[in-house]
Parts: sequence; structure tokens; C-alpha cells
Amino acid sequence: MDLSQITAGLVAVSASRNSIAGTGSKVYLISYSDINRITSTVVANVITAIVLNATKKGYIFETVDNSVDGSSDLVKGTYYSDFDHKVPLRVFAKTQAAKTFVESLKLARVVAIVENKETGVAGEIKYEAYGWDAGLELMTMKSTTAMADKVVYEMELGSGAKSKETSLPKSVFITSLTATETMLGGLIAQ
Amino acid sequence: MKKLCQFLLLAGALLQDIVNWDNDLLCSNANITDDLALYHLKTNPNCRELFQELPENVDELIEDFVLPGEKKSEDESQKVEITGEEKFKEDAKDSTEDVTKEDATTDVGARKLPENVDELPKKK
Repeated sequence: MDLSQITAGLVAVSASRNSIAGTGSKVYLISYSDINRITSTVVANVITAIVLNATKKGYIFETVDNSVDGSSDLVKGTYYSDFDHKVPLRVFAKTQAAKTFVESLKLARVVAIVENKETGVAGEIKYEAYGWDAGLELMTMKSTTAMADKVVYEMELGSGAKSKETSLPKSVFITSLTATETMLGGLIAQ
Repeated sequence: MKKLCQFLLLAGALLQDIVNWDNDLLCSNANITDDLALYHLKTNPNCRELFQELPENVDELIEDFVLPGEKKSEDESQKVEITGEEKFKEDAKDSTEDVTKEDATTDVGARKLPENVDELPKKK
């Protein structure tokens, strides 16, 4: 089977403006096992519906603008290639709640939906989901009393050694930005 | 205080208005109200599977829910039309008519005697 063909070209520059770097202050975190994979839908690597199992909900991690910088790298295999997703989370408040949160991530497997500053033409790339296929694990965590740059805890969520992602972070977009944000609000409400 | 809603969607579920695709009628757990939930359940019964909590009498509520622009049944709309002053006047008119009829047919203060009055034993 020939998997080596591409099917479309690309205009790789925008004549009107450059893309905006950076992220917003919110990251939506969902436990990987809470996602109902039957009712949640992905069309051409765009997530068009996220529905969680009954009684489950998502959580929001609110931090400083641009302190979350999601990244993805190609992992070149002998036969197939995958993607490695990384989302660093920085905590700026030394509280008991923060400690509890950090500890809760130790064994967790989550999907992180990151808010980009770049929205695209209609908001179609404002939100991207990292770890949708296999989930993200807590890969590193650093805590020092020096608190350089006011960072108390510095964590990195990333793809596990054995389970990588099949694509770049998937866009989350449901017909319009308003609809997408209403859905995201519904993930964390209850 | 936020009014409690009887309906709860699965987290992340988004109901869209399939009639007019009106963004104001988008519904998730972030903005759900009883009316919004009933609107979607009435216009799109298939969305019921996206709810995790529904009131026991949900079918009754859906039946009774009136969609925007939808007319009520004739009897109900007549009931709605007769309100306030008109209702008072109508009641007053009915009661006056009843009293007049009663006055015309009843001998006030007189006791009606039984038909077999002559056969009854008389007091000594």
C-alpha cells in the first residue's frame, strides 16, 4: 500500500498579516478516560464535538498569558512517524490547592485544550487539543523555593514514551467561535 | 441567586438550533435553562440522549411547551383572551342573571307544602 502521496498544495504565507504568536490564559483539562469517543467527533483532524461520559466534567487551569506554550515535534520511526505533544504548565501561586493539583497530575492522563492568540479567519484555530489521541502524562515537574520569574511549580505534560499522537494538535471548532466557546463553557460547568 | 435548572446535559454537549441556526439558542451546561432545554427537546427529540438529567414529567413539559410564534390550541387561546376586566364583567353578569331567575321562580318566605297535605295526620 502506497502511503507516500500528498493530495494538496499550500500557500504558506498570508499576504494580509502574520500569524500571532502566544497563548491565552486558559487551558481546559479533561481526563482522557472521561471522553465519550462515540459521541465526540473528529472530522479531518478537526474536533467538532466533545462529549464526556455521564457525571464527568472538565477543569480549567487559569494562569498568566503566554505562560503556556504548546509544542509538537515529529517522531520519526523506521516505518511510521508520529507526533509528540508538549504543554508546559506554570503555577505562580504557592498554595495548598496548587500542591494538591500538581500531585493529582502525577498519575493522570489528560487532554489539554490550549487557547491560542491566533484565531484564524473564523476562529477555527483558536483552540487546539493536545493529546487527543493518546493523552498527555506529567513528564517533568520542578519546584524550587527560589521561585525564579515567580514560577512556583513548573510542569510539563507530554506524550508518553509508548503512545504518541497521530497528528498535530487537533483544532477544536464547532461551526463558529461562539458555538465552540459555548461548548467549552459546558465542559467545565456543573 | 441562580435559579436551579431541572435539566443537565452531558459535559461538553452542545445543542444547536436546527430550525433557524440561531446562535442565541446555543445551549450547553454553561447557559442551560428549563426553557432552552425544552425548546431543543421539542424541536429536536434526538437530542434527548445528550441529557444526563431530565425531570420525571419531561414528556408532559415538552407537550405543554409553546415554541416562539406557535399558536396555542383554540380553547386555550380563548381562555387567554378572556382575562381581567372582561372576566370580572362576565362573572358579574352571570351572577346577576342567576339571582333574577331565582327571584322570579321562588316565593321568598313561603314554605312549599307537600302534595299529600290533606292525608297527613293533623295535630291535636
